[in-house]
Amino acid sequence: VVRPATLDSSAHRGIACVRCHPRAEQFPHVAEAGIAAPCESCHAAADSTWRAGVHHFATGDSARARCVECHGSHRIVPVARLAPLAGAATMNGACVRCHADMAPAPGDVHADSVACIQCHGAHGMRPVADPATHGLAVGIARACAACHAAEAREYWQDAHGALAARQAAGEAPLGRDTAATCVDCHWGHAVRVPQDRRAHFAFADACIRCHPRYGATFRESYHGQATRVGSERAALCADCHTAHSVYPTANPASSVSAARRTAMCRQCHAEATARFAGYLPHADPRDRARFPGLYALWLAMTILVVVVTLIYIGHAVLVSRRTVLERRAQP
Amino acid sequence: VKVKDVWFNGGIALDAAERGGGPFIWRFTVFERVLHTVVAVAFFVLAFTGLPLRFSCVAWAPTLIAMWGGAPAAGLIHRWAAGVVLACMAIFTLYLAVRFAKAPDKRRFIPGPDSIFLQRSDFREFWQMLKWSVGRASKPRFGRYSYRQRFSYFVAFLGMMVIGLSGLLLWFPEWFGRFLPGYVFNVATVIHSYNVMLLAALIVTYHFVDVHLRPNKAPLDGVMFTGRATFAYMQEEHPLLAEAIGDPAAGPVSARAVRDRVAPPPPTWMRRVHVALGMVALALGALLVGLSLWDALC
Repeated sequence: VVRPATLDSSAHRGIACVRCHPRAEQFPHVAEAGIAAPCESCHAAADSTWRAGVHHFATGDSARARCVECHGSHRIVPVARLAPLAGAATMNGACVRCHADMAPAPGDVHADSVACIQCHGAHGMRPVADPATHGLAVGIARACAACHAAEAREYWQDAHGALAARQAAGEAPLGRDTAATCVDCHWGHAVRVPQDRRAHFAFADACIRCHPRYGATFRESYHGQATRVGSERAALCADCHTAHSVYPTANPASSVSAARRTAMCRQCHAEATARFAGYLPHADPRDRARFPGLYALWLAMTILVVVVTLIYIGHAVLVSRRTVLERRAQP
Repeated sequence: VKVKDVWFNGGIALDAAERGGGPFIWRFTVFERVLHTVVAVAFFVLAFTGLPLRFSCVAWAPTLIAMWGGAPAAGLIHRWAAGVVLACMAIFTLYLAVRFAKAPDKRRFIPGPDSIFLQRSDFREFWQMLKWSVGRASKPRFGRYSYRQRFSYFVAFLGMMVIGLSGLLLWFPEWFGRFLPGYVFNVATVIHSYNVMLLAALIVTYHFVDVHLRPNKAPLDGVMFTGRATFAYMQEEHPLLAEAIGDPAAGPVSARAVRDRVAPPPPTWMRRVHVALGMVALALGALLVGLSLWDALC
């Protein structure tokens, strides 16, 4: 039973019950009188965007979210009237009722300050991997720009953003991987501050997911080894390649282009010379075609190590065996 | 059974150099023993600060580094330990030079029975040892040093020079980058990393097995730590030297560590310390083997 006091704090205070429950006009009430809630009769615009969104079209039989699932019913309050954080908490609470597994991870910098709907949209909410944008999360990426305008400006120009925009628009083939959008590297529900050096290892792993060959050579270089055992000083991907202005090395705009590489090395190695910058950070001594000199050295050293170790072990086994045999022969 | 009995008196001594009859004979001077201990400790420090980097994909490599106080601390300790080894090499070279200057017969200093330098006879003895191991020759009779000890010295010295030089390149890349192309750091990385494997294999699969684990020595041999071994041990391992020493009972007991003189038995504290250290070293060696095998799986 709804008491009049329940409606006192509601935005709908003073609106007749039958506006939302038209079948309650029948008397005596029929059992289904409570369920019809024709919100669209007043909120037509919100209703039509909702019909385009994921909560309307991606229905199961019972799991779809109608107005009351998020907004509540008799205690309904306009989002704008709540303090921003309280509003966020109220709406997040509504989302988490169905999407419990999507609650922000501990340490997510957005957890207490950003509401679900700020990134995902409200009534017109689309899937993150939106089929309308060929599965690229460009909708989320555009939402990020609302707060992170400078990063977004760089991102939409660089190799990742420019390709993501073209792939989303259907102008570029999708290939094996789609271009990275914000959430591919920043994890939608475990967003970290960039100053958190420990989180940078996770960023490197995000790069390596799509660039496994560069990842493998990075992991075998001093930078990759030191960072993996816990160094927070050694360079990770974005320290040389930048985070949001990533271009192929051949592109003069790249932070590691021939003209700009030495300057990039100097970020950490203050005394770096152009000769120093000739170091090949992604050299692969096992790649015979691209690094024949290193390959020859690697092969020679490997054979030496294996052969010598086998001789050591063989020598020990042979001598030990004979020693035991001779000892047994003695009375 | 008291621990003391198990270790030293009852049954067979854990230390191979204390087994068998006869008095103890001085084999290594205090200088050599201290130098060896310092280098051995530095080896483990270098291995456990460096190899977790090379085998960084092993799940517990970051834990090993964290035990040193994190990556920057481990990096610093690695460089300090490398400095210690380089200093030991310099001191040892100087020591050899002094001994050479004092040697009465300089022609027999480098290729000679008392020399630690690898020489032609060692290859002959190696071949004879292999033939003996399949029952086709008599066992070679070694003098002061066997081919195994000379070979270990040769590989360790050469290896440390190469590892030290490539390590210096990687330690001061900015300075070397003033006049050397960046490619040398790629080369130095490969050389440093694989020469370390060569040296670690020598220490762990050869030196440890040959000195400590082979059947007539297991579980360990402490002659390098106590500086002395029984006459029976000398007859077994270095028969030509034992013959040259002659009747051990004839000489007076020398309290000072003078080579080939009769020595007092090692004091109890020294036996305890060196047996404990030796066991720890063997366990650490096994851990290094585990680290490299684990790496092969990832």
